[in-house]
Amino acid sequence: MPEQEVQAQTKTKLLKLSTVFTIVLLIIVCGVSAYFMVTTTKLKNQIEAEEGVIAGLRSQINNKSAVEINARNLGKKFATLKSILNDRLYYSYLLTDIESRKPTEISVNQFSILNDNKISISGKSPAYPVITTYVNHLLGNNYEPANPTLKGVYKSATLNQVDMTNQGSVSFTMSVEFDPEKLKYAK
Amino acid sequence: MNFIVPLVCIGISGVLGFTIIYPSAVNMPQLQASLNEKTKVSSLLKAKAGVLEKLVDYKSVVDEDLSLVDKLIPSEGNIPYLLNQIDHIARNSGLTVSRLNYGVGNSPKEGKDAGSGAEIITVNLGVTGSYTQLVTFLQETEKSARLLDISNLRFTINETSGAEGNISASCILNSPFMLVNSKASTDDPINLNIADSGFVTIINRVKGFSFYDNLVVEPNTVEATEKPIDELLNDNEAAEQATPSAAPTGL
Repeated sequence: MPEQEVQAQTKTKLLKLSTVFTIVLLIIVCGVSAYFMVTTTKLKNQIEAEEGVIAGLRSQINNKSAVEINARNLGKKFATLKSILNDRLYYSYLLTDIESRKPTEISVNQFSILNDNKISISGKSPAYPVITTYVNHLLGNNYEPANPTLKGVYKSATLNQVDMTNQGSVSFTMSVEFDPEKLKYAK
Repeated sequence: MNFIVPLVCIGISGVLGFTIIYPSAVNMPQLQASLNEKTKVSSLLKAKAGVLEKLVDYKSVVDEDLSLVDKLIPSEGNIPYLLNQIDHIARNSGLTVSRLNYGVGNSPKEGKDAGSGAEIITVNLGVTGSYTQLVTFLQETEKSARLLDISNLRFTINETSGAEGNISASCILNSPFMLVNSKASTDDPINLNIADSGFVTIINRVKGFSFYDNLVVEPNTVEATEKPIDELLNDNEAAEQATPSAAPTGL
């Protein structure tokens, strides 16, 4: 085959290939362009539709601004109320419970609820074992006359001072630590 | 000349690429993000509109609840009424009021409520009476509609008194008040569900509290004095220490 004919055949083949390749490329590019056009148009339409919905909802909401203000006011006050009621310690139950656990022979002279969930109790007892009984009643989880919702309310009871110098009378000072969580749910 | 078709195809592809594909590819994430944002706002507003719709249907309930909560945490201190109420509760419980001082601010205990915007009226109350009367007073304050939170409770048994009326007690009562002046904010959600069981439970609970709205303001048993909060707290401790030495009397 002459050299020139080989070159001509190669050129024709190259032309054919490049034509097919570029047409395929063009088809792909057209397809991709169409996809992008459709997608962006669809997104823009969706955005416009959402904007319309948002404008409608805002107008609807603005028309009810008086109700909204009342609801917000109620919401704020209710949140504060809830926090106060949930954190509230019911000392009336504590006093009643402490009294129910106290042996009748013991007389309390001073009672203070301190800031660190502690109670300071000073009193007098005819004998030392009665004070021990009082401590046991305070720490006893199954002490019957006590308020069952306050089971375990007293975490510790420490005798700080015991004075046995007076005959027939023992003075004492006791520090009782209580669980504030139990007092919040006392009934 | 024979390459005209490939050249035209490449040219058209290039034009399409630069005019459509590239700008669209660049814009598409932004459009998608914008759509996501709008959808989010739209669903938030839909939810809010739904909540508002419900609140409009139950407007009378909302107004009633707001009025109720306003009685528990009033917008103003209204100190004379508060002091009168405390004096009234104490007297009704059988106690005799010996001290009634007050201050406005945030006591250390209520520091946590400072963020809520609530202010606290702190009342230092001194009373005398019996143990039972003191417990009754505590029970009444615990169910008082105008919130009264008790702290720093102390009492001593007076040596000279008889079995009844022998207790000298002092306590700190904290009563919050809070001015709320909300504004309508279209895009912010309303975090209030009046049908929520927690909300209903608390509202029903406070409906059972004692209201002293119609209390006729009478002169208090003792003259009330305004003092700084710290001084009130110190007074409470000092009052206990100043009490005459205790005698062995039954509670």
